[in-house]
Amino acid sequence: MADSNANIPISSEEYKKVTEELYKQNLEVVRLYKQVEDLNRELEIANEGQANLLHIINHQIKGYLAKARNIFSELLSEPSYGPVSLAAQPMLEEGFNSLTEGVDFVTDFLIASNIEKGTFVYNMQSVDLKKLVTEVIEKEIEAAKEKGLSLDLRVADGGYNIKGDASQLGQAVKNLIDNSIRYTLKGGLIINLSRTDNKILLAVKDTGMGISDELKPKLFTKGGRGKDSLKVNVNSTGFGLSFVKGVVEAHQGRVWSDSAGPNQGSTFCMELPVVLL
Amino acid sequence: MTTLDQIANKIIKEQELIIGPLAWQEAGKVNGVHIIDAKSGAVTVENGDSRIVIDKLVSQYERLFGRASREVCREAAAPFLANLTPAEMPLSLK
Repeated sequence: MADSNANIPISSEEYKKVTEELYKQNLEVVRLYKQVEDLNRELEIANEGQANLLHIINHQIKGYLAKARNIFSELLSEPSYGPVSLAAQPMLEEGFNSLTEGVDFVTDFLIASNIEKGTFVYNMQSVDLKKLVTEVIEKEIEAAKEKGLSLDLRVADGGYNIKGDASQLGQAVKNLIDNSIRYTLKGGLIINLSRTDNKILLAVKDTGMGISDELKPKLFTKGGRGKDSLKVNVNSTGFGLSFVKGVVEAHQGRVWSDSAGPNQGSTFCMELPVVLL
Repeated sequence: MTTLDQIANKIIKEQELIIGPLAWQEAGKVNGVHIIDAKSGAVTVENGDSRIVIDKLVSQYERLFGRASREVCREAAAPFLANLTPAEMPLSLK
């Protein structure tokens, strides 16, 4: 049915009134937009300040932890301090191991922070990814066993040499596998390594707690952990996968994850281009 | 670029945020406003008394969009007014 008002001419006063009203509404939108822009700027400055402060604090903490670790190391290995009693030996070893973990933890945090800021300098060399992944898995098997999880590596035929930073790629692969182990309570992990003509794909498939739709877009971002993640992994920093993304993207690769939903397992993938030195 | 050129430029750009490219079209209708390049926002005011050209520019927007548009012009010009002597000040911005 046609609008009965369609043919009634609008007076110039009404036209002006409507135009002025529209102008005011647009003006309001522009003012709100400017406010949001100002707030975003303030937030960016605050975030940058916080990140810098965290960086400085972590550097300090790393220094203290490293110093304490060296003291434990000296006490355990330096004969001039005299023999360590049998009762004290395990305590000192526990202290040394705990401080080593602490130093590694803070070092990872600092590297992740530098990677995110784009200030990290990669040491690009020829890397055999098959060897690298195998070595990481050998170290991770123990953690999987402790949780009663299976850990299988399946490598398709082909060459796996690329140009990359072995140390950071190793840490990225470790983080990916660590993440799956931490968030898998039963079952296990299957790690597939395969390659096409110009790409290498590492897929870590687990039978773990899965990924909700809400978490998916945040997963590879700094602090992007699930709301229940701390119940399963008390040491969760939310930086592990952000680190992986930073390293892989610095190698011109990409990362992504798949999951049918909570408690239905997940697959975490990293794809790297085959670039040779 | 004179201070009045800068004021004209800022006024048009602020109006553009609200009404889009129409701001440049309307400014182009004002006698004395010369748009050199709308993309980069290069504008000069000429034709006799530049103060009056600014007044006409403000009126052009006000005629179409009402009192609120005059306030937008005033806010846009505010940072530049300290550089003008009282004799140079356009009436519409006082």
